[in-house]
Amino acid sequence: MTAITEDSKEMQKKNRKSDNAALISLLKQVNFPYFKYLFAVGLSTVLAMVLLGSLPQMAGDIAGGEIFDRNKVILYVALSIVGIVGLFPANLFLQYMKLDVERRSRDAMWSKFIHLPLGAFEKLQPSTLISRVLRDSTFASTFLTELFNFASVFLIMLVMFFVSLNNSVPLTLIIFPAVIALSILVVFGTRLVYKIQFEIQAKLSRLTAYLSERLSNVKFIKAEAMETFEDDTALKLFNEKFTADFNYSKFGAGLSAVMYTIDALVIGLSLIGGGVLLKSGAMTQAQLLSFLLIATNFPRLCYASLVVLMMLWSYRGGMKVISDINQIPVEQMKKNVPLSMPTGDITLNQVTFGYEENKVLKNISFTIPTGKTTAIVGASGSGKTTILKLLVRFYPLQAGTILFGETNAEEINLDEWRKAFGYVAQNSPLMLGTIEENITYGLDGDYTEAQMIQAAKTANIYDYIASLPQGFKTLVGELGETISTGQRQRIAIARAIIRDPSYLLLDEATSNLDSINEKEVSDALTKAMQGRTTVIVSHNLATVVNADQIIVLDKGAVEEQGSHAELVNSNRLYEKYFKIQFGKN
Amino acid sequence: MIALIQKRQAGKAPETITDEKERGVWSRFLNLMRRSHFPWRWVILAALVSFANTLLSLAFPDYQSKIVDGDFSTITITIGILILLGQAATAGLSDLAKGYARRKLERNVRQTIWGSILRLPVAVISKNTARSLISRTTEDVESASNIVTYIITSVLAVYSLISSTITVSKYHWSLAVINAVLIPIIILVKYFNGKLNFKYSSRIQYQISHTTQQLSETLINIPLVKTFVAENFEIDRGRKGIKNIFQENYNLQKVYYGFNLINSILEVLTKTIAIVYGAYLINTGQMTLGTWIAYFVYATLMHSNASELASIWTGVKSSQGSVNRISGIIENPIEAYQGDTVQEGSGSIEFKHVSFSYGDSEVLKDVSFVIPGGKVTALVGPSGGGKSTILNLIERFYIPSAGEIEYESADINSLDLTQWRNRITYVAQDEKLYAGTLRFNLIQGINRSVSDEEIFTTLKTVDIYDFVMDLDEGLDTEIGERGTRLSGGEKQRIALARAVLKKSDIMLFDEATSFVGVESRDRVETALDEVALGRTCVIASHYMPTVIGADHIIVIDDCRVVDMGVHSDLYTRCALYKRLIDTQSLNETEGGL
Repeated sequence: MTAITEDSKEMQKKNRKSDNAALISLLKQVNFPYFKYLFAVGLSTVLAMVLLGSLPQMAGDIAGGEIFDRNKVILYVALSIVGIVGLFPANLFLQYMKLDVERRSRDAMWSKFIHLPLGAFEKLQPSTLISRVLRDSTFASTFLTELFNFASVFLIMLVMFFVSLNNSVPLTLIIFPAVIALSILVVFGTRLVYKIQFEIQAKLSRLTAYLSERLSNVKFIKAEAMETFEDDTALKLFNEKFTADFNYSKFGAGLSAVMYTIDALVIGLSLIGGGVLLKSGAMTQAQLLSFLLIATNFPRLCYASLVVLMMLWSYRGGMKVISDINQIPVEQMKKNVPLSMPTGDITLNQVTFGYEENKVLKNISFTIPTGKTTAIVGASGSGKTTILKLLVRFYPLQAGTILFGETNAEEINLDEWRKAFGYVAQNSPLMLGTIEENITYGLDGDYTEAQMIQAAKTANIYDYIASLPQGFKTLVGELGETISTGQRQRIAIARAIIRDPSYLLLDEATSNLDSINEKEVSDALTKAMQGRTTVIVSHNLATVVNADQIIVLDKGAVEEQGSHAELVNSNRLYEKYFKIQFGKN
Repeated sequence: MIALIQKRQAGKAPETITDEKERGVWSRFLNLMRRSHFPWRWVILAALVSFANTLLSLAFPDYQSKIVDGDFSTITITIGILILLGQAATAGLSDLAKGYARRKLERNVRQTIWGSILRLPVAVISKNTARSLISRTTEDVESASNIVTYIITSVLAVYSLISSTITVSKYHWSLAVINAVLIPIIILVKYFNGKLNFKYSSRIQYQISHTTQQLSETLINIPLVKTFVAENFEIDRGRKGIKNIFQENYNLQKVYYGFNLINSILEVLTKTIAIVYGAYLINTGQMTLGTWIAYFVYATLMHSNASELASIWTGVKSSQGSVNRISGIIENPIEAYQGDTVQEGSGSIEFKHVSFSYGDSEVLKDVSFVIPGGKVTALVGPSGGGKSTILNLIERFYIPSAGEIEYESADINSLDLTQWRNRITYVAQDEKLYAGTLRFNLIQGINRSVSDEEIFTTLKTVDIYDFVMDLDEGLDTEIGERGTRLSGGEKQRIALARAVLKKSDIMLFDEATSFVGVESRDRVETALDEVALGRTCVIASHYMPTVIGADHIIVIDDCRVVDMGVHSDLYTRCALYKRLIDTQSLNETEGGL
């Protein structure tokens, strides 16, 4: 038993050590300005000490009878103004550095994400990615700034304590510890608030999920006349949200009652105790006043410092996530070999690959000859799309090699490699922005209008674009539902061919279209394929019969390969597919 | 200060427009509350307890001064302590009551909004994005309901200001004068502070949501980024957004600390006056130390009350925005649910000179035809020709801009809407399902109990029985939000099964089998033919075997009916129909047989 606990302690220590190392390396990455920051924090701390410690003391003295000491009054006013005015640049500078470090942290995380391999993305939850970039990335720097902040507040509190001690030892020793003890209680209570807030968030996201699901099904609700039914379903969720929210109110009410009690304690005790001490002559009026002015500020600071401490604690989890992401290696663009040959045969040599445990491709070998069209057919889930993804080197192979001529593809510079391929994926997405920005995506402005028009013409989409009032400058988002799937696909085709890639990868590009649209897309593809090495994946046999070579996949393995004429009477899978599709005719 | 005034003048023109909008906002707010069961009792309770809290906080300084001046009688101390404890108790209770009232109100307003949204015409709903309607029902509700709390707080703050000024005037007349000068200055400064904070915070919000949207889009499309080697482009674009967030944040900090400076100076001014002038009064014998302490507490109270009053402005502003946005939704007229009873009959539907347009673009132009009762009618034609619109008009998702649709010689738009829709089953192409089990999804909208055997038979009909049985939990399998754990074809077959279970008189299918794979499409289509037997069935389809087998075919192109009849006649007579049939065959056979 003891051995186990010691072991886990050892483990914890190790974890903590590696966490700290990760934290330090993150801060190093963003160049945290330690010295400047320390200077600004120091300045603002000293000024706050003056405002919250020395000034109340002087105020007490003044009210206690030194009102006619002109110098003292002038000094008091002057110090107040210097303190306040001095705090302004100090705090602003602190904020500037804090925000600037935040910005650099986000920049670093963003460029990390962009360079992560595709496989890493699939392991991360898509909905959390954006908050990793914008929020969690700043945790390391925030941790540090909050640490400075805590140190500063702590020092100010210390000064307040000693100044008060100077005014009345008994009052200080009773009241200050009492406030600290109660604040700690409150702060422990606030841990409860996390649970409540979590509950509220959970109910809210349930509610939002419900609303968005029903809104996207609103036609179904109407068609089935289920409005009243949905009223009742919604009410249940509204009530859940109400209960969670009200729990929060209960907590808030309790908290404000306790805070008032702390204030009451400070004021009540100092008044009663102060009154007694005044009467006995153990304390002067001036001292009581100074004490009151300082003591009434103390609970607020005490509470604030404890909250900061708690926040520091809560950042640990977030920083862990970030340092984990930071340790994933990024894609390396530069490899050993430039893509020197303009084209070459591509050979898959005993390639095996799987996303998780299941192997999607098992020991696949075939050659994609230069200048020819290779079609890949097979049932859904047979691994067709995965072959295209491996060709653009989205994932590392688990076994086998892809050869470019005689060279292993993995040795070739990744950016040059991908630029040589035009890839039209299944449901190729259009990005926000204009049609022009979509067609010329990734070219960095390095294109002529003639090239763009030529690409649009080849993709059979020029006439459509020209018919729009804004032409190429039309915002894709504004087209809404007036742009059809076929038109979207043809824009994606134009985007793929404007760079004049030597290799063209086409995936299911004509599914879900009506026959006229389908024909237009097919024509566009036929034009695009001219003079290029093409690999086309399709369910639809009609689009593959013309290919120079057909690869038939079944459950991740090559079942047969050859031309249509060779395969159509093979008595095997291809013939079976062919008969299913054309059986009726 | 000058800069502020200039800014204000520069912004004058748009402000008058908002003023115009604001004028109606209170009546809109009242209207919203009237429709939402305003929780009167709780609001009144909250106001009363808050008022008690204010009274107690105003009463305390008096006892404080008595104690400091040496009155240690049991009564004074007891009352003093009781007031302090009472303050703590009423503070807690008033928060509790305010919280309850506010949350109750939120829930009720939510019901009002969601009830309206569900009953709005499809045309109105689709004009808004789902995201905006969701934020109307969530965030905007919370912001709008806040107004009640704001009203209570501001009334009490005003009361407290007046009352404390009167009290200090009794200590020394000059103290009231100081208050009268300081209060307006504090309110004015806080007002500008709130206004600028609001402006800069909304700029940050805008920048954050803009950048978030842009970055998320890039992250979703990361394969595209990699294929097009656009990494550097996206990094630069992202950095620009991140830098803008930084810039806007820093601008807000400048405003924040700038006003912090002014506020602190004001606060110190208030305190310095209290201390220096108070010390003068004490030392010249015009005031006791106890009274001075009371005054000092009142002065602090005044500062916080005045600040609170001014900062409510910002809150009210954003609440008003929410009220306006909510009203923009719920003040739309809802669908006409009341109407005549639907008559039984042959089930035929007649379009008489029907025209329809979405916004400016015409979708149907003077269309007339009959959908025969108890038969299968197919609608064919190129995409965008108006086929879906015809189905949508029958379902009364939209109302024709001209002409009439008749059922048993009654205009369908004069019939009881719920009865009419209950008579129809509509299956769309992209039928989305709900989070929940398969069973839950299959019996949605079916107003009778359905046995498992019947469900199984139906699942076999649409060729998905084996799939369901292969799942670990069969019919009780959770299918994820919007059914995302199912493929398009599986979702379509579940939607078809649901339609088959419903057994309505009229069935509308809009490309309802498009995602069903080649392997089972024929079987599913044959099964649907059987289900359709004896029912009025309208099918919009690109799948030619379905069209060819229909009892009646209507060819639609470019907003008009081109021709109608049976396959053999149309194929010889109608050029477009022939082309549609031939292109599909051509696509399927070219280069081959």
